Amino acid sequence: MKPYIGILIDSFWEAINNRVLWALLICWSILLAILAPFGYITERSFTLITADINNRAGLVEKIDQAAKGNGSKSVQAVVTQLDAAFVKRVQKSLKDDDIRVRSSELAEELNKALKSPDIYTEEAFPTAKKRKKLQPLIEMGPEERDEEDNEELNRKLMQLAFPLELAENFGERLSIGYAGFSFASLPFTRRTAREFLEPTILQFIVKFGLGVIAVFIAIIVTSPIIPDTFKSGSLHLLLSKPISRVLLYLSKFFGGTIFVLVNITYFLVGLFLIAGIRFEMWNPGLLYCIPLLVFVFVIFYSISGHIGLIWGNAIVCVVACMLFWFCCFCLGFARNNMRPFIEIFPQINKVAKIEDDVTAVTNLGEFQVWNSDFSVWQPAIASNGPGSQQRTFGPIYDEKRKKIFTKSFMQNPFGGGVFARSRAVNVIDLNNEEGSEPKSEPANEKEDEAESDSDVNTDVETDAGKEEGVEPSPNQEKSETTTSEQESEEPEEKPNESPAEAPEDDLEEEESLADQDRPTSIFEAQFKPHWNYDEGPEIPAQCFNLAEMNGDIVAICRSGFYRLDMEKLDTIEAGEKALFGLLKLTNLVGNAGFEKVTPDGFILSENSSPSVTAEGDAIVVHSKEKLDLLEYREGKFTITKSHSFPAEEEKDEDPTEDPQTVIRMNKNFCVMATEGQPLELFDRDLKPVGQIEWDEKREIKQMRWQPDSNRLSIVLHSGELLFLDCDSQEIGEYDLPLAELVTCINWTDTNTAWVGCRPDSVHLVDFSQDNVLESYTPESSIFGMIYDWAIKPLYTVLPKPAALDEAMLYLLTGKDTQSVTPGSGSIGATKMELSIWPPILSNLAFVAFILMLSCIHVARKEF
Amino acid sequence: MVDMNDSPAIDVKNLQKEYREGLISRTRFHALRGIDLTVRRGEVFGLLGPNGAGKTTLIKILLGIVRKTGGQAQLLGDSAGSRRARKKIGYLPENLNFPAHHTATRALQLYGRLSYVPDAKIREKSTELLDLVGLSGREREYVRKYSKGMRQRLGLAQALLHDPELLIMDEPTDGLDPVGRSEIRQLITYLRDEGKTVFLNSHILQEVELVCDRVAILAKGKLLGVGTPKELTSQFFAGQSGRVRMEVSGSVEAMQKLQEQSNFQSIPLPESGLYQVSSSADDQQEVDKLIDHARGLGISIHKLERTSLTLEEVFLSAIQSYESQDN
Repeated sequence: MKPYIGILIDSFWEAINNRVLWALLICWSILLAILAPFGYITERSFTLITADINNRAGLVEKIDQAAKGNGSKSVQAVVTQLDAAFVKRVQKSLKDDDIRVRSSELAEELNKALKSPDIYTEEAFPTAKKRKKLQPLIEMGPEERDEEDNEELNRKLMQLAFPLELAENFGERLSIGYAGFSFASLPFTRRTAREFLEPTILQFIVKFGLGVIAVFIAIIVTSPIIPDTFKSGSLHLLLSKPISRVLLYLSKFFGGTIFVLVNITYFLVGLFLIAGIRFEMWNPGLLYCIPLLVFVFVIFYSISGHIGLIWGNAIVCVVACMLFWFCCFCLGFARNNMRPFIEIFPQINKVAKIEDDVTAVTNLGEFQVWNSDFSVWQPAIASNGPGSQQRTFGPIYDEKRKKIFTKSFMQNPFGGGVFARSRAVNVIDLNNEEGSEPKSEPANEKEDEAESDSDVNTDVETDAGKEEGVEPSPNQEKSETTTSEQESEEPEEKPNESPAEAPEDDLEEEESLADQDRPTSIFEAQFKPHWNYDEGPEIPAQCFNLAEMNGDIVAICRSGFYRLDMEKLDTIEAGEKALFGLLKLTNLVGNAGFEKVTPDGFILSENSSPSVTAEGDAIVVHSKEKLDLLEYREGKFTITKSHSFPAEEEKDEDPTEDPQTVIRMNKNFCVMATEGQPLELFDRDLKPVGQIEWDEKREIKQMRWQPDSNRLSIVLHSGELLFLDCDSQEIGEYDLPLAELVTCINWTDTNTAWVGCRPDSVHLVDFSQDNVLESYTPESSIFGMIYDWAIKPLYTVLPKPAALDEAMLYLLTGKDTQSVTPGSGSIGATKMELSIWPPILSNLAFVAFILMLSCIHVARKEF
Repeated sequence: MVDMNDSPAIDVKNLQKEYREGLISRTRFHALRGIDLTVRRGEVFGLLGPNGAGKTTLIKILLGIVRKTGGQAQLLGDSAGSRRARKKIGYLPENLNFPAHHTATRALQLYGRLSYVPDAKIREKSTELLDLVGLSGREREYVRKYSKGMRQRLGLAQALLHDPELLIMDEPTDGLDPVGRSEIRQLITYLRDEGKTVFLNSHILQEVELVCDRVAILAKGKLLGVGTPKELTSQFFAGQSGRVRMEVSGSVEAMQKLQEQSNFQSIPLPESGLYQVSSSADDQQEVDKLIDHARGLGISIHKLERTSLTLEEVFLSAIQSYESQDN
């Protein structure tokens, strides 16, 4: 091997002697020097910023009540410290639409109150002294407390007064700084930064800085190496040496990569050190990217080398590389942009049969109904915005009343929360659904909600999000009307006219038109809503999910659980019909439809994971410290069982940094799955009964109880369907009579389940007989066919250097899935499986093929 | 069993090479048409031939750069082009280019490694060879700054680095000034004295004549003759090896008669009014006869010299006679 090592060493010297290399290294050094002063700045701060106002409407309401002498004494104690004129303005804003109190103003006024030494009184805050963190501050007394102590105490007292309205403060404020100067407070947590922002920024730098710019400079710089080597002046001398021609070519080829290796290594090691030192992000993935990026270069260089051998001209090599890149880019672009819409978003997340209709909710959050006329999924109701990411609560079917309850919220593309123009629940009346026209939600409204993942019938999970700006519907009572400071972000035109605005005379005519409204073509069936809906009562703020419990519909929210009073709804509906012959629930019901049914003072923290039991008779709630079982009896919840986790030292840290948890309970067992930890088993009394080892890479998407058994079926993001036998505490794999990968499961009885399969088919499977009873596989759309028959096969066969981005993301994040809704905080949130090995293998095969051609050419050519 | 040390340095039998050109029409071109050639160990052998004669093709076959289409070729007992054979030869190509990043030291390091020479030996031999080729003290300069002669000398150093038994040199003095040529000649002589076999391909016939023990003449892929210059002279001039050259003056008629009645060739010399006449004359008797004849025609002899035939004359004669036969 000595001669070939000699060639590699010589290539190294060739690279070192290249002025472009030094110019690039200087450029990288300048770039690193510019990046180096960036960093997180964690300041000790108890002041509020706009983003800390979780629920502005609630806060305004509480201030108003406290000013009137109502409400809790703690709130009153805080409000007395606020500027009287400001409080009056707040009160006026509730009556006068023209007066607006912004979240920033609220934060500013509360910050002024933070400096007051007189907020604390034992009468107003009777439990404060029992809290470890507060006790020493209270005992100090106002004289001994310095300004910072005062702010800390008051901020924690404010949190007690406004637990849902204000975001928790941990004495730290995260901001981006440059050379020690802070210039932007970050409105998100370190977790979000770590999970989404950091890999995104790093990937951007690595991909565009190195993967594109550095690689193309390298292609231009290295393009003459092969043509120069194989031109007569030097070639005959090389060929006269006792070495193999093929190995000579390969040595020269890989020697050419040394230029790139030096560049990339220099920059990535620098970036690794900066990310580690400045952002505490010691990400070895950056270093693992070195061989990956060199590999990206090798793909292009193999083309350059081969063309160089044949044409012996460096310019032709560069042009050929550019053409190759352009072809790969076009194909990759088409595939990457079509794939989510063909393969990812249409995947079924929830499936159930409602009366004779098979319904499903997709990854995109679209509520759909199977249209058997055209064998396609048809939108069940008009959606918030076709094609946009949504979070759908329900659908829940009330068999007695033949009504479906559902609600879709838009997903914030940057994570953190969801929003909609109205928080009114959508009610589809199957008795009378043809009587109203399909409509969308009222415009000019926006609500942020806790995001969640739910079952069709019962299960709920995930963390509460944050309300960024609450505005009631214009159809709501005037007293509840507030303003939103984020109005500018939201206005959207109503696609259809609301019935409230439609002339009443038109409705009869519309009824007769209902049948004619049935889709007449496959295209129409794919886009036309199947059902009409009406707006029902508003879902309370910061809701995790809607669930059905013993025939009741319950909204599970941070501030407690709310039961939808169906009888009242029936009465109002009947009265409304009798009076006007119309369905106008919204105007009459409003928030009054949901009645709080949890004990006073019961609230959930942001990182709680509530879940309805398989029997629908209780809700189990997991938070960092404990597990609570709230049984539902006679329309009320009572805490019947609790389990405390071993106490950890009290830490002031952001709870959203905790790993995500999903919990499931039936009449015998409770299973808790936490990211990166073993599965924990509890009995119905919440006593631990065991732990089951769980491979961190098996990311759980869904867990469902198999009825009348202690088997918990587990759907993984990778498409596997497993079960956990709680009695034997063993994990097994279902014998599924389907070749496809599973996306969801919904048991109808002990042995039969609806199974969602990739990309968007649904099957009713009898597991006892290994038999598929019913199948619903939609026809491919034109785009689907183009994707399946042209883009995908070409993409599979041809090399795909750009697809190595996914491998790069895997190296940077360590996860083989990518959340479509980053920062969602939900285990079940839509994730796209990263294609790591297929592009590496196909690119390797391509490089091997091109090198083989080059070697054959070199071996056979008479120079 | 054949002792490899007894085998000739180069042994070529009925060597043929046919090139095919064009993707569709595939025109054929015979570069070598059955060459038989033996180069003995320890001799300096010159290969002569006009452009397109097949000299480079022959060297390329010997080095394994192109494949033969027929016949046999062996180098030092091994098949020509094989890795074993290439290990034993040093090659100095025509128009040698070194990569721009090379210094003399780095170039010798690379080519030494390519010839499986240990690094320690490369260091040791580099100093010695750079001294031999006159590049001592300039070994750390970039080769791109070298003159052509220096590059050729460096090329010779790399060819000698692994102490080869056979040295193949392709136009080693091409583009060199007279001093450079002289140095290369001295080096070749030194190598012969060291016992190396040198296979030299050159256009400069005087040089070949000066340093080569034996010579082969190649034309249109055929070997016209092999031997010492003297042997070749007798082959192409039927035993005649001497000539007489005179500068004469006389009437035009007398000059015409001289040309017609003897085998004199005459060329008028500019401005002097003299003619240069020459004819073959192997002994004194023939010289006297020629002088008598000239004087008999009233021609005055201003200058007379006796010479032997040059290799150039032999070469030109060989080519001319081959071409006339070929036509």
